[in-house]
Amino acid sequence: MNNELRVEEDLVIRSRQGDKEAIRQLLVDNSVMIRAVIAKMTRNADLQKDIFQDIVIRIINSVGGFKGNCKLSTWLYRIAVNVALTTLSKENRSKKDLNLDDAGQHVLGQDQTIELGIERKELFAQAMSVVAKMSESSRDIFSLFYFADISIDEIAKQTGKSENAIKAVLFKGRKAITEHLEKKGFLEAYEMPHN
Amino acid sequence: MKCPITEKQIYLYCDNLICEKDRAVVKEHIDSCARCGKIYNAARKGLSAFVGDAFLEPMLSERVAHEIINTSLRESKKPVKTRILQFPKMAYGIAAAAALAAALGISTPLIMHAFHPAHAVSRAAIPVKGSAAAIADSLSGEDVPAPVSRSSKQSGVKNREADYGAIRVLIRRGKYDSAIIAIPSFIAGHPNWDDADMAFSDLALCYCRLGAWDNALAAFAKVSALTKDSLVREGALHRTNSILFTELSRIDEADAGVAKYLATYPRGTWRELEYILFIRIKIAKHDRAEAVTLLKRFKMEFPSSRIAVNLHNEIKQMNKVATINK
Repeated sequence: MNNELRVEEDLVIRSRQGDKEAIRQLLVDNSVMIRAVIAKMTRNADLQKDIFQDIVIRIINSVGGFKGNCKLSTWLYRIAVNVALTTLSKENRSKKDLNLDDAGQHVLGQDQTIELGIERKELFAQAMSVVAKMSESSRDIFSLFYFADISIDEIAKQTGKSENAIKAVLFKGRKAITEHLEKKGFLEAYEMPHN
Repeated sequence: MKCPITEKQIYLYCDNLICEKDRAVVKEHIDSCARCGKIYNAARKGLSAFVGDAFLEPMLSERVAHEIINTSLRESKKPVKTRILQFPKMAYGIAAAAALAAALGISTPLIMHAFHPAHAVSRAAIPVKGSAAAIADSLSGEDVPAPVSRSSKQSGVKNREADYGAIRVLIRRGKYDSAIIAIPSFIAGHPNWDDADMAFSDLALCYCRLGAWDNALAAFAKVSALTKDSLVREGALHRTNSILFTELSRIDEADAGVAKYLATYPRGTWRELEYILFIRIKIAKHDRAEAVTLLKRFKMEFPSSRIAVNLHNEIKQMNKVATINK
C-alpha cells in the first residue's frame, strides 16, 4: 500500500469514528473534486453553495457508513452527484434557475458546436427527469461517467461489471434521454433505428 | 439498404467511447447517410442537455467551500473523538511499541479466551499464541521504531494514548488480524478506561473488514454496553442490524433490531437507512402489506428520499414474483 493510500485510509478510519478534524481534512482534500462536479451541473452561484453545503452535511453524517468496498473518491463522487441531482430537481420543481449555458461544447468539439439556445434550462430539467427514473445501479454508472468524469475502466473496476456492460448502460441511458427529448419536441423527429 | 453501423455505435462515437478502427467507419457513414446523420445530431443534442464542463464553469471559491466545511462541522452533532484517535507523533512511537508489547505479554491469552471461543473467525488466520511477538514482528521492518523496555506502571494518560496509537498503526496498515488480538489485550490492560467503547468499535470494524460478522456483532454489543454516548450506541445498533440482514441473513433478528431502532430513535442519524432496511426486511419476509405501509410512512417522513422509487419497484417486483409462483 503506498503512502497516499495509507494516509487516505487513516483519514477514513478516523472520520468513521467521528473525529471532526479527520472529517475536515477529508472534505478539504476532496473539495476541488466536489466543487467541480457541482460546477458541471449548475452555474448558479447560490445554488452551488447550497449544494456544496448539502453534500458536506451528507458526508459528515454518512462517513460512518462508508464500508470501504469502493474507492473513497468514488464514494464521494456518488454522494456529490446524488445530492446535487436531488437539490437540482427540487429547484427545478420550484422553477428556480437551472443553468448550464455554454456547457457541452467541449464534448462536441469546436467544429461540432450546436446551437445552444434559451431552451437549455428546460433541456437539462427534462434530461434530469430521465436520469431520476433510471434504476439505482444504472443511475450510479451514468452519473459517475457523465457528471463525475470517472473513466469506463475505473467504473468497471468499482462496479465489477465489464466495460462493455458499462457502455451498454450508458448507451441505454443516453438513448432514453434523447428519445424523451424528442417526444417532448426538443429535438427534430428522427427515424427509429433500422438495425 | 441496411446500414453498416448500429445506433449504439453512433452514440458511443458521439461520446468518444469507440475504438479508433470503428471511429473512422462511423464517421464516414454518418457523413454520407442522412438517416444516421439525424440520429447522430439527436445524440449530440441530447448529450449537450446535461453535460457541462467544470473547467468552463465558474466554480465555488475555495474560501467559501472551507467556510461551509468549518461551519457544518461546528454545527454537526457528531461526537469529537480526537483524544485517542489521533495517530501518535513520531516522538510517541518508541514508547508506543514497547508499552504495547508489555501489555500484551500479561493479558493476551486471558482476553483471547474470553472473547473468541464462541465466535470462530471465518477468514482471518489469527495467531493466538505469542501475540506480543507477532505484533512486534508486524511492526518491525516498517517505519516504526524498535521497542524500548518500559514498565507498564509508568503509563499515564498520554502514554496510553500513544499505546493505543500503535494499535491504530496496525489498523492503518491493514493488519486487522493483529489488531484483533491487540485491542482486547489493551482494553484488559487498562481497566476503567473511558474510551474502551471506541476501542471495541475499532475491533468491530476490523472484524467487518475480515468478514468475521459474528465477532463484529459481539464487539458492537460491547460498544453498546460500554458507551455513554447515545450516538455511538445508536450507530452500533444500526450496524448490528445491517450486518444481521445483509451479511448474515438473520432476518427475524434484524427485523426486531430495526423495530427497536425506529422506536428508540425518532430523530436518529441512521433513521432513513433503518427504514429502508425495514422495508427490505419485510420484502424478504414476503410481507407485502407491511412493506407497503412502511413505504407510505417512509415517504411521509423522508419526502425527498430518492430511494422511495427503488423500494416501490422492489415491492412491485415482489408482486410479479408472487404472481408467477401462483
